[in-house]
Amino acid sequence: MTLTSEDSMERRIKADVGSGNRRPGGPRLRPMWVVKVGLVAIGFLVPLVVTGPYQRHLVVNAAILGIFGLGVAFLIRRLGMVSLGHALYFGGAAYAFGAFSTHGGLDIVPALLLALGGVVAVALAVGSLLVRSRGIAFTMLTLAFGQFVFTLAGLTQTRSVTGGDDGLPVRMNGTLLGLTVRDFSNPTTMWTICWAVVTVVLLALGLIGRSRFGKLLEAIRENEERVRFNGSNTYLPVLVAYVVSALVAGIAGVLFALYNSFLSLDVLAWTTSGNALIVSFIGGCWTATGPLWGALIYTVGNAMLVSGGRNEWQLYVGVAVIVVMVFAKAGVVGSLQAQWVRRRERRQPPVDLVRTS
Amino acid sequence: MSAVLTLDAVSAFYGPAQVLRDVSLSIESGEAVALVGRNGAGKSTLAMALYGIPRVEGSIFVGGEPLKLTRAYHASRAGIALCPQGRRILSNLTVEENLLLGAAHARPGSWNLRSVYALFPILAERARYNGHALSGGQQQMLAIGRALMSNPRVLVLDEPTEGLSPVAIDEVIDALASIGETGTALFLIEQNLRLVSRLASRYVALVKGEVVRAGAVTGESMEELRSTVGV
Amino acid sequence: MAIQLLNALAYGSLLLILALGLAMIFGLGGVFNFGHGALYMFSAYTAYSLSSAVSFWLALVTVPAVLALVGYLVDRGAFRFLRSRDPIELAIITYGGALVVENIVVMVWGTQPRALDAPAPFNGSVSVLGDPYPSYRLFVIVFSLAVAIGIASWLRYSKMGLHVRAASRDLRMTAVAGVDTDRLNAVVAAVSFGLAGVAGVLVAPYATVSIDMGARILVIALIVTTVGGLGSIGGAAIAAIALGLIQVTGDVNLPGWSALTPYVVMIVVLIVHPRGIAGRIET
Repeated sequence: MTLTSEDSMERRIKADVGSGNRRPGGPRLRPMWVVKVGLVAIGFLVPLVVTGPYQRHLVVNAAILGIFGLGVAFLIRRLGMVSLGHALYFGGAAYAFGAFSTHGGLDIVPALLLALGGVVAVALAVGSLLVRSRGIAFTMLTLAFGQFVFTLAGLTQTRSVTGGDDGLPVRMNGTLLGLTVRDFSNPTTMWTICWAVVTVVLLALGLIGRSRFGKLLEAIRENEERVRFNGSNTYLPVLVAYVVSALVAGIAGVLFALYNSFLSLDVLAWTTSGNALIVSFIGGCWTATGPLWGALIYTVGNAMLVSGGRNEWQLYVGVAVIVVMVFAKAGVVGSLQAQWVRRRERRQPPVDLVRTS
Repeated sequence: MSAVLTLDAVSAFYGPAQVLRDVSLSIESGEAVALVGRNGAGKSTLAMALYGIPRVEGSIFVGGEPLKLTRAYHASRAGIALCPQGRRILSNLTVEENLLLGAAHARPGSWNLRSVYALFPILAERARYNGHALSGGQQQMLAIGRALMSNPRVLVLDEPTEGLSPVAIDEVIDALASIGETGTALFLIEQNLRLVSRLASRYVALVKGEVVRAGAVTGESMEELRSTVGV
Repeated sequence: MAIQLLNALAYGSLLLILALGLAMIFGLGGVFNFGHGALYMFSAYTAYSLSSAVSFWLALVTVPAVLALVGYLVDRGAFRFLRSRDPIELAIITYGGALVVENIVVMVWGTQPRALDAPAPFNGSVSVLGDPYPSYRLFVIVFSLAVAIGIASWLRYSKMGLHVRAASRDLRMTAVAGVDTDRLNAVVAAVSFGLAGVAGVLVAPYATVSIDMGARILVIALIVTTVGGLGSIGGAAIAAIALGLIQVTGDVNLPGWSALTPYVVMIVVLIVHPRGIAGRIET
């Protein structure tokens, strides 16, 4: 069983989102791209609108959490597989980067590359064990692997590397694109970096989704037996998808380390994986940008509700998760898109929105 | 004689697809009626429709009382028992436990562990074995025994001889004939007409979810079915 | 050695109670209840307050009973209408529920860890082969194992237990046989919630009561459930006590590293039996 549902609304959403260049009728395609490029450009101007340093700090946090969510949501959207262990890659990449920089004395660029290379290697190893399982079994196994690494990082024996409960202040050496530690801790600079990464990740995940590989993944999600019966290997594509999703989470982790230059064990805890999942579901896993919006809602909501000194944030998140899952499975963005599609359909004869596979 | 099971304009749907269309039929108590049709005609859907399992429209009466289709257990408690396609023996239960499951909400009657074991002595021998340690024929006996444990008014059998050896088929048929003699109505869902002739007195033929013909089981009517319905 | 063995039994029997509760809901509907750890934590806090105000023994009776009632009502009032959903969606809903329960505990008790003294008459120690041993731990072992045996007997010998076992293999066939599977689900939810309550109350005088205790033990209980095999209480019991034993002896011989043993066990089982675990979980 996968997370996909047969009801046509969701199909429409999926088709609507994923069909940009598939829909017949070329002319409509170009305005869409103009809009997208425009949105990317406007994104870089966000610091002009968001002027307070604290507000800028929030949007940077939202972007990092959003990228993390994009990685987690990729697996859900393409394969219906829900990971609850991606803190392993988010926190793992952050700690690897921190350790290479602080203990290894490496410059930022090699530390960063080694950290991401490590994520890919670990994801391959862990994934090769995990990706045979599906459904809730997969979720529970990812949880176990994530907790394994979290527990490992908290041991007294690994304290010299991770800093244990005291956390790890990251000492960065050298520069990246001419930027130094100082620049990375500046939310305005960091926003530009994050937004660039968001753009690249969205583009890459979008291209993967539309490629033949992406089609194969969707075929596996819809009916794995049939794909196997048709002679395709399903193990390798799922493993590759898992590594891609881990890499995106790892990129978010490195950004987190760059920005905060301090790491605590929390980044490896399963609640961190849970947060990525929550923003994906609240925003909408079935849409390209849902996790980003989910992360923005989550971060801003957290700031607004917690600043009053009250201690009810988790309560709101818990209720939001329940409400979204019970009443609006497609998430906030997904539901709005469905509304929009329905409206447009009422105005004009329906285009063939159902997936043409 | 009174109707023990009556279907009145029953339609069934899987999502938007209509699988049964206005099916009406009636079974008298003690009677053996066969539902014939090719694969995909909606025969098994009709069996499950008694439990309201796909979306069902229309009315079903058991012993004159309307049957609630909201929950699957109503049918069993009203006096319908099903030997489902593929038998669905619970492999984590023993033979005896499988039988006891059938008695979850038994109506009063003469069927109990002892009488089922008397009908199928092999089940008594294997009482403590796991359900899936039985041969195909023994599993079918277990499925029939499990259904009998509820003391049904109608025993619904969905392809009871599918995949069985000729010897096992004879055993199952003999057992069903003796059950029919106790007054329990049999509703046999089958595409093997030889079997239909041996057990049933009346038939109802289903094509694409609709009743196309019905009548007494005779040599000629079976011949006709073979050519028209193509079973 | 005897002391270590007893510590392993005490820890293992608590794990067993938790794992049984998880496995029951899982076995019937395939839903992993992320709220289980939160219920356990909530029960420990409630036991702390009730013990301080009235009596631990009152907590041991009332907390599981109230939780069982809550489980019954939650199933009848909410989960019944969501049964057709994908189990993963339901699991995420329970994750939201866990956040809510955790926050309620924080609102009521704050984030400060609490410690509770063992209740009389188990507040002393007894001599085990010449060494003093806290008698409350012996009580935990005996009580937990009695509860586990009770649950196992209920499943094995009662009519409803038979229906639960049948439904965990084939829900539809069980309903066709005349069992009200909705009610069965609610009863199983009640038993599961009640078991979380038992474990939570038992642990309160045994270990520090803290907000993260539920989330931490949930994953271990999950591992016990999967390694031991769902639906197999015997398997879960062996896995829970073996895990307790490995961890407790490891604490002495390999301090620190032993915390990793549950995960290593899980990973080894996964390598040896890649389909085994998955297959078991999904049935």
